[in-house]
Amino acid sequence: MGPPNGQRSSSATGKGRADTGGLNEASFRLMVDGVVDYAILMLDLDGNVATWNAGAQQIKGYLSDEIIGRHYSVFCTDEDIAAGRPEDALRIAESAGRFEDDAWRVRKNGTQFWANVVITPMRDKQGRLVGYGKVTRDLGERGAAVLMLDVDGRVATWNAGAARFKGYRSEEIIGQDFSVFYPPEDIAAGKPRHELTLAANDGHFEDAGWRVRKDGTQFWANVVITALRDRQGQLFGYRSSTADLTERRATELRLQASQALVTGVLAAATEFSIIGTDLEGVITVFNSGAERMLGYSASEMIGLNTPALILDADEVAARGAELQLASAFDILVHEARRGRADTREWTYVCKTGTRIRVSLVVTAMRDEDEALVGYIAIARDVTQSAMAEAERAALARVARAVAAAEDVDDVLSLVTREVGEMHHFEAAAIVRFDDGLDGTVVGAWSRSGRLAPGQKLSLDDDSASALVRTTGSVAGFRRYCADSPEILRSFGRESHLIEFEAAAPIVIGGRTWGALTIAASIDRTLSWAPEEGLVRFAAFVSFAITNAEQRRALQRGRDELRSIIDELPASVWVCDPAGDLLLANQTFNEMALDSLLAEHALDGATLSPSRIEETLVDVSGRERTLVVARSPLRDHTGEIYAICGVATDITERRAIERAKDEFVSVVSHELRTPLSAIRGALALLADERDLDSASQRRMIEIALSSSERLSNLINDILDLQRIESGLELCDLQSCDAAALVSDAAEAMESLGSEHGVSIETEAMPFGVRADPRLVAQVLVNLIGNAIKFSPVGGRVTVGAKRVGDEVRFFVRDEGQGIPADKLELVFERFLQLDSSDSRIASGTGLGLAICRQIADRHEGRIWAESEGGHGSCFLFALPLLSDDTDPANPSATATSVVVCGDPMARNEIRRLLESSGLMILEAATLADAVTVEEPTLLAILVDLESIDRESKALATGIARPTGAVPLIVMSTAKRPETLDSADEWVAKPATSDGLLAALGTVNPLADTGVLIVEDDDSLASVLVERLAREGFAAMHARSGSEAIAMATWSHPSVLVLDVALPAGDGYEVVEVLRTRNVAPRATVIYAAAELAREAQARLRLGPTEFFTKSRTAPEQFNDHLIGLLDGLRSRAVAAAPVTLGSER
Amino acid sequence: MNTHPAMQRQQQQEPVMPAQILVVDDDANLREIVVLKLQLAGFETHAVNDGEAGLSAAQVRAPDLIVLDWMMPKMTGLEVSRALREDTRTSEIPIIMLTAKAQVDDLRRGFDAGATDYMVKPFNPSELVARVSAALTRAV
Repeated sequence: MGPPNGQRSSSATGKGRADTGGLNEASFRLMVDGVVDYAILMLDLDGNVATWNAGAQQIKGYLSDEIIGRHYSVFCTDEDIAAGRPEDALRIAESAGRFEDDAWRVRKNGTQFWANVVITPMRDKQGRLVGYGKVTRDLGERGAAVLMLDVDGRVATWNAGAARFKGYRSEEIIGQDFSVFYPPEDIAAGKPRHELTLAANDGHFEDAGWRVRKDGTQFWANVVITALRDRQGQLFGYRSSTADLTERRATELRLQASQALVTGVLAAATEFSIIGTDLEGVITVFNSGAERMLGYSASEMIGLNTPALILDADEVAARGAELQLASAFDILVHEARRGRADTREWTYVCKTGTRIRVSLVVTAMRDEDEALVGYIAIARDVTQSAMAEAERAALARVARAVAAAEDVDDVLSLVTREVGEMHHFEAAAIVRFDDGLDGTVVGAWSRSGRLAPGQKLSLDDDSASALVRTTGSVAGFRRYCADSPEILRSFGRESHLIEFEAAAPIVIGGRTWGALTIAASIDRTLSWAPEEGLVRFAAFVSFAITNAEQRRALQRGRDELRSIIDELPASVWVCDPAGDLLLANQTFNEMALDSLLAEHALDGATLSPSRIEETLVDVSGRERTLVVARSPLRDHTGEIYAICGVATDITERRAIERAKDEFVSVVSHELRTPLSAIRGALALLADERDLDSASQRRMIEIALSSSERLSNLINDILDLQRIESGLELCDLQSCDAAALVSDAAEAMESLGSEHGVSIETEAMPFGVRADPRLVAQVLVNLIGNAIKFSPVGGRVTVGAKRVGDEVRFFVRDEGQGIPADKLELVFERFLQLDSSDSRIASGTGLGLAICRQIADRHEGRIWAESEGGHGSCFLFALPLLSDDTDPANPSATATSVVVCGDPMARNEIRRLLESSGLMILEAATLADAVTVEEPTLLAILVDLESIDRESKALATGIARPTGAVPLIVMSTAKRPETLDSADEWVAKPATSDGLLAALGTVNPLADTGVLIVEDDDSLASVLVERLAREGFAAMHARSGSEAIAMATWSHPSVLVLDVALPAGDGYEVVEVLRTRNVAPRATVIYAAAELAREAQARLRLGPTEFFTKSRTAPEQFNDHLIGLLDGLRSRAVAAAPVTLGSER
Repeated sequence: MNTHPAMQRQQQQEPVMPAQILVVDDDANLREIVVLKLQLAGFETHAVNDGEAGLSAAQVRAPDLIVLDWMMPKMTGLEVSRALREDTRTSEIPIIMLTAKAQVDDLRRGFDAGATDYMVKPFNPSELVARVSAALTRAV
């Protein structure tokens, strides 16, 4: 096909024109590249391809890099090449400025197509030819019908192509108007004429439209009508080229439909994020679903090559490590690139930072030649299910921890961690609502690590927790700019951009106890509302706290029960049916009652509760009587799983009962005796009518005296009972000892004179705290006794003197005295020394027992002294009424004596007082002795026979020459009846014991200190030191003899006594001290071994306690001792009854 | 069987020789009443005020019957009774315990110790005389 002759045209198809002036190169290139309907290429001067566009690629099938540089003749048919047409075309284009032709062209795959080709020369600004622009249009594979029309539009020429196209033979159509090719509606519209007119006007007309074949069928045609003019420009006809593009038209329509479908799908798939990329990852498609899901707009994203922007960096890195790839894009398309379907879960990061879990399908896009052209990534939001799954897993872990009853703090911290990490929150906390508006963080987790349990919060802000507090229901809200409340600040945000916060109430016992709260820096509610989950976790928190509280309450209950049963005096235990101990209280262990368990083997006796009395021997070898109650414990099936036992020690009760029985028996005997006499006498009087008058009188006398005795007896028994039981109140008041003495003496005056006994008093006025009525009763009783036992003409002396810090009342008689072994017994009830003595028989046998009771009630002491055959003296000691009396003032320890006499006498005394613990000072004369200034001075001892005359005169004078210091005189002379200047008189040759006793009598500080008798020096020094620290004076004796000596002169208030000692053991010490009337206010035995009852009885000296070194550590013992001393000290003022504890 | 001479006399020709009763009691009043009652009933009496004296008097005087208190100094009535029963010279002398000990158990102990009869104080003096007479009769 040759080029049309003389083609000159201002045709609108000159879009390949190289006139690019005004347009920049890039824009032009972009425009050309975007054209796909035309192959637009540039040829160099030799006709080689220089540029290539997408249309060229599409039409001709070559990729740009395989065609650029090759001669454009590869597009021409072999015949055209052989005819030199490619070169001709260039030449014509250069000379004519344009070459246009319709001809067959060849694609890369060898197929031919009918093409319309326009070649235009391209020149630079200087007009030099630089190359050619070539525009090729694909007119289909069927070629074209080319014919000529005359000026009027009649067909002038016809060829084979036209015949094939349109079905007319040449003779049929020549001369026919060309409008026969048009459909009737076009003809009616005048389209054929109009087109010719346009072609005539413009030189060229191109149209695509339906045309009609001879057989009436229509085809889609591309029609180009060119006006033909002669040299004068006179129109002489038209050239019409018609290409059948029906097939292409169909294809195009299909394509259009499919493109519309794709576009529609992309737009409609709002629930899916669809992102398409080219081979390099540049985003080409970003659908509305992607916009919605990720928050970016398509215009922002298209053209970008940044898949990393929307992916979680950690996930990408992890997958990259798996695949050994670094580029995010490569990682993402790895599978798709290999033609494999790839569906996996990823986390998309939205523009706002929100993380979304997606199921992502990445597919490769290929063209019809299976060439890879790009990728498409379709993502579905699976956050809901991922979150739900994460929440389920976290809940399960929390549930396990709660069920395992782990420490509640651990559970709370676990909950916050799980809740916080589960949804990538910044922080999670459990806040307890306190009083007012306060809250306390009790469980916390935060990314910053800044939130910690124990933190105090103020909930008066607009935080979610505060909202929960007010409303009691779950709360959640976003805040984009707020003054962060304390809790949010502590979440570790420097700025105040806490955007989301939610809290769920923790309800315990129907009350909103607190809140489980979370804070996130981003809005997570986009795809997930965490409030629902929070409510579930809050339920577990409330469960865990309630559980913990119940466990604590249970434990408290157990502890309480435990301490209660431990404190019980009864032994309590629980053992299994086999007799193995499950639980035992302290008393059980102390009493070592394991022998009772053996009987627990399940037998008939244990099936029902039992209560029996058992006797067994305890650890210390004493026989104990126990009431043992056993009862079976049954489980819900009624089976016995344990036996509970309670054993009460009734040994003491039994002893008391026995003593009471004995007393009742004795009392009954004592009452029956006078009653018998009364009844006997009266019966005799009644029965014997012939009784002489003397006998009658005698019987009446007997009845009378017996009834008097009976009534006295009853009175005394009642008295004793009243005082003993505390019914008789001891009304302590300040009284004058001297007045009490003279009143009592006066009251007994007449009885005395009846018996021919005189009563004398020697009393100094001292204040005492006492019940005057009871003291009078004691004195009257004692005086009565003294009168009874005095010989006619005898003398009874009643008095009161001060010894140390007490007042001692005394009643001395000149009777036959009391044997030493009976001195203590006389205070027992109904003790009759010798009933042949009518004086004894006349008493009730209760008087002294009553006196002792009264003394006890006064915290006083009563005892008897007697020098066999030389009368006896009853002493009754009461604490001196004195404000400054401190029974335990260490500075008041009197530990030294001044010895006054010639050197030999002084040496002798020193020897006698050896090992007494006393410091001995010496003076030659009494005058010298008086000047000794020694605060601890106890007494001055004067050897009367070895001092100078002047001293002797002083020592035997009327007044005490030693001031406040007591004076003891030692002399060969008989003790004068009254001691004036001296406080004590010791007969020579003096004995060690005599001297110590005298010192004890005069010791102004008797009954104040503590004497510790202990051969273990280190233990003793610990005790002494501790006591000194507490303000108690303590002395230490290392041996039995030392203890006796020291106790004799010091009269300790409390005696602490070890049993095993060198030079006389504890028993000996107690025995000797008893005979010397050294009666401490308390004695504490601290023995190495447990003592039998008999041994304990032998060691009793005043109120006595027993401790065992193996069971009571020195510290405990010390504590107890101090407690005891404190008690005694306070009682010295309060006069409360002495009660002693016992060893536990 | 060697019948007590005193009793034989009493039975055969009464009152030939009154029976001799030893009274042992530490309570002077009671002693006096018992003695007076027994004398009025025609018995000869000897009274002592404690257990020891009672035992020796019984051994020395060999009385026809002993009225014995229980609770006394030096020697109790029980001890005296046992001693008397162990001594062939006195083992057959009837003993009437006259005591304030009134429990059944006391009674048993009294009889165990050798008492012939037992009377609880306070007592009726006439009953005592009746019991004394009965005991003397039985002893024959």
